[in-house]
This record gives sequence, structure tokens and C-alpha cells, in this order.
Amino acid sequence: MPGEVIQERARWLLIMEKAYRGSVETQFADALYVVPDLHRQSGGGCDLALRGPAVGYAVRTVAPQPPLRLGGRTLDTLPDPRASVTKVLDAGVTVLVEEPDLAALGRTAADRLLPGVQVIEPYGLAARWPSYEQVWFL
Amino acid sequence: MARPIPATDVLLNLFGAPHQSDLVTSALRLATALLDRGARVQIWTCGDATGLTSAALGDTKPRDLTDLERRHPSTALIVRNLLADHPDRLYWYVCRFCADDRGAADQIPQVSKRSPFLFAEHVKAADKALVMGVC
Amino acid sequence: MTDHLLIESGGPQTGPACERFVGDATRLAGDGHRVVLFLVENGVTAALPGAAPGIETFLRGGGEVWVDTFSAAQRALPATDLAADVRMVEMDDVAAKLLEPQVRAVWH
Repeated sequence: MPGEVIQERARWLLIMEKAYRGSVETQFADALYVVPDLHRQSGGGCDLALRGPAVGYAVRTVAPQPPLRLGGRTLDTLPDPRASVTKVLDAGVTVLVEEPDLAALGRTAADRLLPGVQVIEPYGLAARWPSYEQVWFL
Repeated sequence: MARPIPATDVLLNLFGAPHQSDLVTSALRLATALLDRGARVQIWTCGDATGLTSAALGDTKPRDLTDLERRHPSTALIVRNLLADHPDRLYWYVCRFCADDRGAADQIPQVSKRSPFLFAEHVKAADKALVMGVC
Repeated sequence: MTDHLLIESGGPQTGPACERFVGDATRLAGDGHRVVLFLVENGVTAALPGAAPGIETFLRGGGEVWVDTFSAAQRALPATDLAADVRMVEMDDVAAKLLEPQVRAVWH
């Protein structure tokens, strides 16, 4: 079994605000990739907050993203952040977004929020920081 | 079997990329200040920061073409020297997945490559853990 | 109540990101926690008067702003040009704060 799990449930808040960090070079290994395993390693103690541009990761696209043609290669393994967020939710991670970030993404963004993502009030995250052992911008 | 992780006061997780900001400088300055105060420090690198200790860097940067006689140390040498200055209180770890992904699999022998599955163990071994920069 | 060391490295040039982080610091201070906001690297430019209005709000709310001497010097920012209520510090001061057992730190 790769890596032990912390026996007491840790409380880690992972905050992502930098988004879209490279499609061709990243592919499956986007910033969200590590989150389910961090959740496992922490004994089920991770919460993930998506802030600023990263809130878009939790908003369903209106059309599928086409594969990318580069010369003779068709690259169909680009990152799929919505699928990644769904995996994170399925792993049991609480996913949070702050209401103003959702509003900033356009009038229909809130309607397209992925099921299970929780919306909190502005600066509601910071109010919760003292309840976490670790607060990391990832 | 994974080697035991020494208990430390602070774990600095260096996730941001070199050459984009002063992040690496800040991390090394903070590590030095902590060590000067007698603290025990771990550094864990991810992403492009794993390249700081790539064996391919050798000891020196490429020559300054305007000053050919002057040598400039590589980050690999700087880190090696820092580790030698604090053999019992500074530990440098490199994420194996990131090192492989970023073409830095070949590392200087003074650092330890670690599986990302062991990250929580390193967090647990430190009183405080900072994540500096993003991958 | 808890003690916090929040470290801002990007500064106003990062736009909303810096503003949000300063806002986080303000929220913590407003909730009664003891907060030091340490400005380092490009973050030191937030200590220029008017550069980051949230800094004034944070200070009024009881927070402390520390400015990295090294970063300010590197960016040709003399202390006399910075806001009056900030404290110039060395990395040793930050290390000392970080090593205080009750302090929680977040890097941004």
C-alpha cells in the first residue's frame, strides 16, 4: 500500500486560485490530480476551495472541449478539470467556492455549478482558517 | 522500505517554478534564517522546483560571455553546500513523480527522492508546513 | 483566538489575488485573531501608500504589516517612501515568528 494514512484525521484546507497551468505539458497531471491522494493521506481531512479563475473548474462547460491537433498528432488527453473536480468530490473531499467568484464568471455560471460543490459567503473561507491545521495555496 | 523522516520544526514545500519570481531565493533565505536560529528544516520540492537539484546542472551556471573568468555556482551546488553546512538539521527531498515528469529524474546524491504518496509523512514530521508557490 | 503569519509575495500587480489575500488577513483580524501580514518579493509594493487600499483597512482592523527589507531594497523602495504604519523586518524576524509554537503560517 503506497504511503501510510495519518491515523488521526488531519484538517487541511487546499486553496486553488491559479488556473489553467498548461494543457499540452500537463495532461492528466493537473493541480487537481493530487487532491484525492492528499485526502487519503490526511485520513479524509481535506477540503478544497476553488477561488478566482479556478472556480471555473467547478462549472460545467456548455460544449465538449475538442481535441487539439498539433501537426500530425491529435492530442485528446488534455486536462479535464470538471472531470477532475468530480473525482475529487467522489473521493469525499468537500469542494467550496465563494459566491463572488461564481458571479464573476458570468450570469449562467451558478446554474452550471457541478453537483456537490458548496457555495459560501465572501471571505467565508478565511473565517474558517483557524479550524484547519494546514492552509495551503496549491 | 522508506527511510524514517527526521522530526523537524519546519517543512518548506517549494512548489513554485524557478526563474519566474524570487520564490527560490525567499525559500533559501527563510531556510537559512531558521537554521541560524537552531531550527531543524525539511525542504520538499515539487514541479519545476525539482530541477534545482538536477545532477545535469553540474557545479556552475553557463559562463558569462562578458566575464569569462568568473564562475557562478549552480543551484545544485548552492543546495549541496547548504546541506553540508547543516548536516544534521537540513533535509532536502524531491518529489519523484515531479522530477520524472519535468525531466529532472537524475538528482544530486545529497537529496532524497520521495514518492508523493509519502507527503503526509513529511507533514506529520514537522511542527509547521508552508507551501510556497504553486506547481 | 489564534496567531497568524500571512505571507504575500505577489503584490498588487497580481490584481484580485493579492486583494483577496489581504482581505483574508483583514477577515481574520476582524474576527479577533492576531495577524501579521508579511510582504516579501513583489509583495512589498503593497506597502506603497495607495497601492493596495486593503492594507489600510487591515491596519485599521488591528493587523500588523511587516515589509521585507531585502525585497524592498532590491526594488529600490526606501522605507521612507512606504506607508508609515509598516515595520521593516529581516528574514530572521520572520523565522522567529514562524518558530513561535502558536503561530500558523500561510504563504501566498
